[in-house]
Amino acid sequence: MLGGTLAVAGLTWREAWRYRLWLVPVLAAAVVWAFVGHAATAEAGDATRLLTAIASAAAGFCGLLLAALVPAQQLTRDIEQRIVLTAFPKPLPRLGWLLGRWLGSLLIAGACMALVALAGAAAVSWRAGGIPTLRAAVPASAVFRLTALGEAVPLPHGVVRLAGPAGDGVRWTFSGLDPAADDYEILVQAQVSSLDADIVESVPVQVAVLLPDGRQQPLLLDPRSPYGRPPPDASMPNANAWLANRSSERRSLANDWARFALPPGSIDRQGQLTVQLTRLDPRSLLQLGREQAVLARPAGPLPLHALRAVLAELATPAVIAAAALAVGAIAGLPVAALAAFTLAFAGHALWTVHEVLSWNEMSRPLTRLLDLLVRLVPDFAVTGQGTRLASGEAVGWAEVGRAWAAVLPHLAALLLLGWWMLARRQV
Amino acid sequence: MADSVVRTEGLTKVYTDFWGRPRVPALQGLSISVARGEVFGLLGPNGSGKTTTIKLLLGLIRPTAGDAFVLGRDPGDAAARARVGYLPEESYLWRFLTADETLAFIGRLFGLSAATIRERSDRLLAQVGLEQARGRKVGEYSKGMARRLGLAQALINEPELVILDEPTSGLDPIGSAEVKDLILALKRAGTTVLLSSHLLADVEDVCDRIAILHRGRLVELGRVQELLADDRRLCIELAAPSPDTVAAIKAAAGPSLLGMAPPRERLEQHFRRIVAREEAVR
Repeated sequence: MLGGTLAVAGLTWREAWRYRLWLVPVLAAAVVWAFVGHAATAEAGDATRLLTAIASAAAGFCGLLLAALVPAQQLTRDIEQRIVLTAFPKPLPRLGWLLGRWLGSLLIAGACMALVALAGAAAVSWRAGGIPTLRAAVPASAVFRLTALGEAVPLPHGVVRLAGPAGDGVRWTFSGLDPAADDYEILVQAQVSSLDADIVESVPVQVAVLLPDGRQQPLLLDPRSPYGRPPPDASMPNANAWLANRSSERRSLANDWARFALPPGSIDRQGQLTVQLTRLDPRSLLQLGREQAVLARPAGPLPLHALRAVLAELATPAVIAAAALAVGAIAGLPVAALAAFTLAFAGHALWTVHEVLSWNEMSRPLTRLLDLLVRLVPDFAVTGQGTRLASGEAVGWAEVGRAWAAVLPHLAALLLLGWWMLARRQV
Repeated sequence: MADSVVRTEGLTKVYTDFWGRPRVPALQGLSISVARGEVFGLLGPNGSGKTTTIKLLLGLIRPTAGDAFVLGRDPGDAAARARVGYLPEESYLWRFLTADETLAFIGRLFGLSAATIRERSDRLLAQVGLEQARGRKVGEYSKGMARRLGLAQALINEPELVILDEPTSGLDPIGSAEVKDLILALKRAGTTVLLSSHLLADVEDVCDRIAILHRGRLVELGRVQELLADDRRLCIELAAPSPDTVAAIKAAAGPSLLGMAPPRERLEQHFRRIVAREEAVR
């Protein structure tokens, strides 16, 4: 069946090519390039971030459009123009035909997304004056609570709330690092509040590295870091960062972390690094945990990660294409396309349903209905990588796997449904 | 019937509507058997159940009742399908592919190697007269050319059973005659052919046996020669008879003589002869 399925995938590709669907990514790439000169922002770095976000959105839209239309159009045409009378008597099972159409559509969507992503990466590089290098976040291998007496207590799980007399803090250890590397960064964020009813905008802390010889060396805040800068009237001796409140959802490497360059010689010969944060203001309340500090290391050029992001985001077109085929097996092109687009929009807007449910203000039947919707509709926000790329964070294979794992049940269910419908279809 | 290539037993098909309610009884209790190497004709007017029978034999639709066996297997069985070639009643092909690409694609569906596909494509395209047009897209083909390509794709797997639904539809007389020659060549090669047509002359020319369907029912089944034989009349053909011979025959036959006339060429033969003559002149 594999050879036949691949043949159908090839047919799908050839059909799309001959009907000039390559114009779609070309137009999308042109749109991205049209923004190169017009993406004006207050800060130079933000313009490239904006461009990255635009390119990402264009690639995603391209993939979605093709995934909805190509399989719906091709399968319904196979059936309506009775081409299946030539194809279905052949030894390839209908499941093979369906999978071939799905695979071919996915290849087309992926290729078009890759083309737009690369065009976007080229636009960003041109605007930035060079190919940007993205960073990957390395989590801490161990975390300790640091008492005001300097004692380090292991903190294997959860978070710690620091309040009361100043001088306490948290110590993070990172392992498996390259001792010779000189381009690592330490990123720190926190959830902060006040012990009294006052609004706290930011809390002064000192972030330091523990050198292999036992000395503490305060780190210097990167001037490009938008988070962690001192307020205009700040005065706190020894403070090298002022941390504003950051919830656990805000994890953009570019915007939501105080960035510190790591001085040479910080990593010991075993590849271990220890960083500690000390609270300096007794009136403040800091909530810190393992995830509040990461080590950012260079992870390769933008185009590489843009392509990997395409692989991750392709999980969404995969589901859309499967839905289009499932409906196309029993209905015409308009219905199949409408179903695919409806699923696409529902999957992208699922967060609004989550938000509405969190209000807890609806009748029980409506709540149950929305709850059912949340369970049935795939959440395409999981597969999106645009924000990640725009914030300068690398897209690893883990993100690709996570995206596909998130949609796998829906994908399998839709393909099975499509197969069942096509198998029952009398031609 | 151990060597039956096609066998149906009480095959019945009733088409239903969306809700599963019976709508059209297309085939009722068809029981036929087609032997290996036979050219079998399915005859009947439009709506008699010919195409429904073929679809049931190809596993494209499921029977309401009864059984069908193709090469001893269920029609939906992939192993059976691998040994069957099918030409639909119209050439439903991919308009954006060339003839070469179409045959390559169909060949891949049968799991044939690239070399085998190439070799068979060359032979089949020559056989159906599409060598010169093999690089053109099917969308640019005339109906007859598409029909010829449809025939080629039906034979790419060198099938044991070829099912041809109205094979001469859309073809000019020369093309029709070539298709009939091809069917006879398949028969000589031992291939079983199931032919559906309402062009009686086509069927008469090539079929060993025929089944006549009417409104989904089998109304006649048998060998063509036996069905068409008329033992109440006798034809005598004489080469350039003298007037005396004619007069003697008239006298001998007496009132039982129904008529005497010089034989007429069939229009198809005449047309082919004329075209062949013109081709020779060019």
